[in-house]
Amino acid sequence: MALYTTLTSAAQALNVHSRCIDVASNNLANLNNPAYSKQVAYVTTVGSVQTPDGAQSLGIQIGAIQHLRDDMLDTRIMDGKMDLASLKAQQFYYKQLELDLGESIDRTKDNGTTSMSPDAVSGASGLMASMSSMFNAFSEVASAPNEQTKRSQMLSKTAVLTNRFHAIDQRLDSLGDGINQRISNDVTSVTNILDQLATTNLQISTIEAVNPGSALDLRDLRQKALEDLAGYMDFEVAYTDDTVPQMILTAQASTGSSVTMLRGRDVAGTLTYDETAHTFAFSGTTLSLAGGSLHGSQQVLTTTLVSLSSSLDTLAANLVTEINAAYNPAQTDPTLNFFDATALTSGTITLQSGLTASNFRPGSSTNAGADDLVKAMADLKSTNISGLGNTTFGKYLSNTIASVGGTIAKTNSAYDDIQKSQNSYERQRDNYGGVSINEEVTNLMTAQMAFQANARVVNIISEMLKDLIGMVG
Amino acid sequence: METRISTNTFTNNLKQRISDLSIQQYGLLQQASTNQRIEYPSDDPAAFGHVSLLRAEKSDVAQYNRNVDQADAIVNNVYNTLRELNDRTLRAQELAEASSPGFNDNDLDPYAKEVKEILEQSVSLLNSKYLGNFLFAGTKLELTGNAFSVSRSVLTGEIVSVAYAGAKSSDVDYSEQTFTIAEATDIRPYTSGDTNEQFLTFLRHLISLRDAINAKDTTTIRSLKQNLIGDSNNIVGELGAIGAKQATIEVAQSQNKERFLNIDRLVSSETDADLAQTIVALTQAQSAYQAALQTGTMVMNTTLLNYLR
Repeated sequence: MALYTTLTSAAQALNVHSRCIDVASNNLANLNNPAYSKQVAYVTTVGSVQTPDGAQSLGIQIGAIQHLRDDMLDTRIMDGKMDLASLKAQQFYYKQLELDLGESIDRTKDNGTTSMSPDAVSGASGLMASMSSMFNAFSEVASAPNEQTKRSQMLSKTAVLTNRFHAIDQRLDSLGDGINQRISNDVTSVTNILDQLATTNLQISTIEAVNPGSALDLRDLRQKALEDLAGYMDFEVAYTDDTVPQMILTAQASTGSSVTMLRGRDVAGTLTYDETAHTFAFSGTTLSLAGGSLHGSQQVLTTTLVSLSSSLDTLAANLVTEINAAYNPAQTDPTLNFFDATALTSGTITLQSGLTASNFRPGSSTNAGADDLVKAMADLKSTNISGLGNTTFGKYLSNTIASVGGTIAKTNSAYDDIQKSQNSYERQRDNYGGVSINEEVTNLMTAQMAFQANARVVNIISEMLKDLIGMVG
Repeated sequence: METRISTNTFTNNLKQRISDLSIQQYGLLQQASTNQRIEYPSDDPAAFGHVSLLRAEKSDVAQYNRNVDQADAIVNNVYNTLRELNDRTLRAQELAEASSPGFNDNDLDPYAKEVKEILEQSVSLLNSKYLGNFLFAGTKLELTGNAFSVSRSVLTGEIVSVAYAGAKSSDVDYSEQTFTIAEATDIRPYTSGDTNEQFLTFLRHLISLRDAINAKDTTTIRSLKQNLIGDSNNIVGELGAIGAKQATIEVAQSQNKERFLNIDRLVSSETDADLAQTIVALTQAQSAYQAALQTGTMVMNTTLLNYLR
């Protein structure tokens, strides 16, 4: 009878609209979940059937519940995260490196007159200021070679310089150790994320074996895990052509080939880090990373930090060699040197053991006014040094500092550029698949009204059936 | 143009905007309070590199100035002393002339006594010190005895011979003390070993003149007169050379002063922030910040839920 058909349809409609309310309320519940994509329930008709009374509708059903996700946007955002994470890591370490160098400008200390002491007029601090101070101290002693006070000051200022070298060297070493530790922690995080992905893939394949494409929340979770992984390293994702597609996650090996890290529910190996060589390997195959914080950290360790340490070592070595050559031209007795000739790095540069203000020799002769040796040392300040690429000590150090600054500025600029486009992509994704309170409340109200209407229909038909039965009985 | 705006788009955008404006305000505030547009190398690498070299040069110039002041003092002392010595030379020439035959046949004792005095004064002048350092001993600034030591007669106490104990150009390790007083400008404020030995010759000429006058040895007196003229020419020549050093010092002082000011100007042009522009930008950022906060809260607070009963 048609009444029963209508009753059935109305009952079906109650289920459908109830499900729609579920979807809307789930969307609202996940309003602040950045990994969540809005779900939409598509209501379709079941179909119709031919009856003696004509075509009868078979009612409505939920055709599909889909989430609004765009694979292309997801991929672009993931790629952006890889680049950003690498640059962010570099930014973070470079800032520390810049502070470790200790070079800065404070103009409040810059003012003065020529009558002030040379150390006071520039207001500078850092290695550059210490080096300048040492050379000026040589010049000061040359003008009064027999004054013990000036010799003592000269040795003190030289000690300040060597101490600054040591301090910077230690800080750079410490930074390197810190980066290595952070990398080790990040490698553990990568391992955990791979395990998480494997588990999620298993859960998805279990649920979707019965109903393909239905594990929407798990797919959101998987995408979040992939984006988390992108924060650590770069990789490629592909899917098999199976009924329930399997995820294949690969990284690039140093040889250029692909290394499979994850296939479906199986993690294919372990990511490891060699602290000495600063390289990554997956199950023994060396990787070539191009994104993520691991890449950024690796870049800092293998390029800028190494380059800066090397430059400082070169500067220290040339200071030692050139000043010793000026102070002890014969070089037959190393104990007569100014600096210890065996300590040629920024971490080891030091005054010759036993050198004091009393036994310091300003001149070749023992005459009190002889100053040819210390004058030659002072003149090195404006001499082009072949070991520094035919530039002066000051210019070499200034170029080194500017180079570090340039690297940092370039990284900051690249980060800002990528961040802008990343913000646009994320906004686009949010606009495509994000939850809007107004939309969901409207959907809720619509579903609620439909539910109420169909409940009324059920009520009416129930009354009608009662009347019919009453008539029979 | 956006076709759909989710709820989180508003909040995320607002957060981003507020964050950007806060960072901008902080940077401008730093600039305004320090009057600097660069503090660290990454702020402007090229400018920072240039400024660090300029600041080093500024302290170099201050050092040159200390050196030049010291050199100036030494040179002035040497000059004044040599002028006194030259006066003695001229007087000794006059005395030699007065002691010549045919000029004055009176008792020559007073002349011999005056030459003796001139000798004592000259030795004293040549043993002058500045800040405890001999002016006329070359690099032997400190000596156990004097730069010009004398031997005296046991009977009369008069000087019979003089010797020079300072640095001589014939010494194996001979050098002259050199001061750097400006960029690529060195000066040797003390007299050379050769010059000092010329002064020794002058002192010996005075001894000989005194003895010749006492002995009324007119031939020797006549020959010594020529020697004394030569001594005076040497001293005048040295005074000329010192005059040139003083001119060099003056130029160096002026150069240093100008360079110091120029460096300050250059550093200022590289590092100083334009305060007016900074304040304008800061005001704009603050206005934008306030507007973002105000409008953001206005929009965020209003949804359909506000109108449902």
